Amino acid sequence: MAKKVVAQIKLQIVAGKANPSPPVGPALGQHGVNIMEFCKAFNAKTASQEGMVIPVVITVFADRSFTFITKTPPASVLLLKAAGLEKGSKTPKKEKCGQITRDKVEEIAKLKLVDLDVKDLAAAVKTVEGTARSMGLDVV
Amino acid sequence: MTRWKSFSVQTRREGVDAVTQFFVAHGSLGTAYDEQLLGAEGDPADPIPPPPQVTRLTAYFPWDTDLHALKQAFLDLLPVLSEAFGPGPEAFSDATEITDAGWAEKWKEHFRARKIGRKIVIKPSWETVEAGEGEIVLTVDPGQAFGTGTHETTRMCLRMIEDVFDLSPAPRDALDVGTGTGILGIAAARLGAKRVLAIDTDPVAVDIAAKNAGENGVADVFRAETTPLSAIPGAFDLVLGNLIAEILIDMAPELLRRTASGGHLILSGILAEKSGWVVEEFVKNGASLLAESADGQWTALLFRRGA
Repeated sequence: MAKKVVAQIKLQIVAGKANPSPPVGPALGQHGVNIMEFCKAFNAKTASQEGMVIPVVITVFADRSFTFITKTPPASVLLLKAAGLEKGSKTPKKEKCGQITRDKVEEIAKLKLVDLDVKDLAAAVKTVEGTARSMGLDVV
Repeated sequence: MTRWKSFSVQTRREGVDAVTQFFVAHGSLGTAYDEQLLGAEGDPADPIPPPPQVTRLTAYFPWDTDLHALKQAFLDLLPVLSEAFGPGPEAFSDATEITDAGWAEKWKEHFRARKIGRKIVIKPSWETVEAGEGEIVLTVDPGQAFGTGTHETTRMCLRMIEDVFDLSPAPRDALDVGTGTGILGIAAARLGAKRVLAIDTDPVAVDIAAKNAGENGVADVFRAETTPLSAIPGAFDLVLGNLIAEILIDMAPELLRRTASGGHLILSGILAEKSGWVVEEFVKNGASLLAESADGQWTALLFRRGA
């Protein structure tokens, strides 16, 4: 079919738990996308990762049909998991929440490389390291 | 819950995960970013441009969130982000209260029953439409597959399908290439085809097409598969391809090989300025052009394969 893309939007939402409230409602409603259809398909696809925030890229076509692709979990979520934490610091300026080893950072960078839109692994490591520091994790 | 709060910031793309994490730690329900509005005009063959390096990110929060405190916390995060990623564009943009504008139902406003051709009426499943004399009502819901009848390319195809089924003899079977929702193949079945094979490279589309065929009472004559065109045996009285000019040109010999001698071929999804190339390619491969129709920037073509 002559699928002309009219809009694309990315969301980070909880796997298995999408519903028509924000961010899904306002993001997709304005483009005339069948929101419940998206929620059902997204929840079915991400059921095994339920509870984890994951990125999803939604593409809307000229007749308001859509497709979506789920991506690897955000670097921040992988970092928390590797550090054995539930949440990052709410106030990373004042309060650190833990530590992560450089090896783990590299491991996560390798996993995220496909989705990070960076030139090479060194750039991916830099992004993951930056993410760690900004959420109150010391890289050791 | 029908009211929420939203908080929008500007960030470099490398910072999206970190900023989202920060908002989630503060109770956010999720974030939206990298929105690209590409407009209804343009060529489906155009690649989607990469999003800009600096993106607007909106985080959504429950109604009882204190936006003032959140803004203070975000401003405190800025030096941390600069230290972590180097100096950058992160900044507060705006914060606001939002009310449910009926998102879960609002999209339905775009889909109303409408008469497409002389006979075919397309309706979504939530509307009830009685078929008038000689009318054929098709039920198609919009979702994860293209082809809801709201797009010019689909409408023109459906009108040409009606025309072909008015001919004598009418097509006995049809092949729908790139079926999407299955709408074209289902229309062919409802107009009298005894066998319809619908193919699509996308397994989601194949499932949706099969489901739609069932809802339109043609499951017994309609089959949807992911089989590639090159692996389809035999030839069909009617071949349908609502794709794009470049793909149609690439597939011209294959499409004509699957069109029975004297059979018809309907092509759509062609930008007006590219229709000349498509005609040239199909004529070169042994088809003759019977009709051409235009709607907006789009063209649909009806060919017959020479006897």
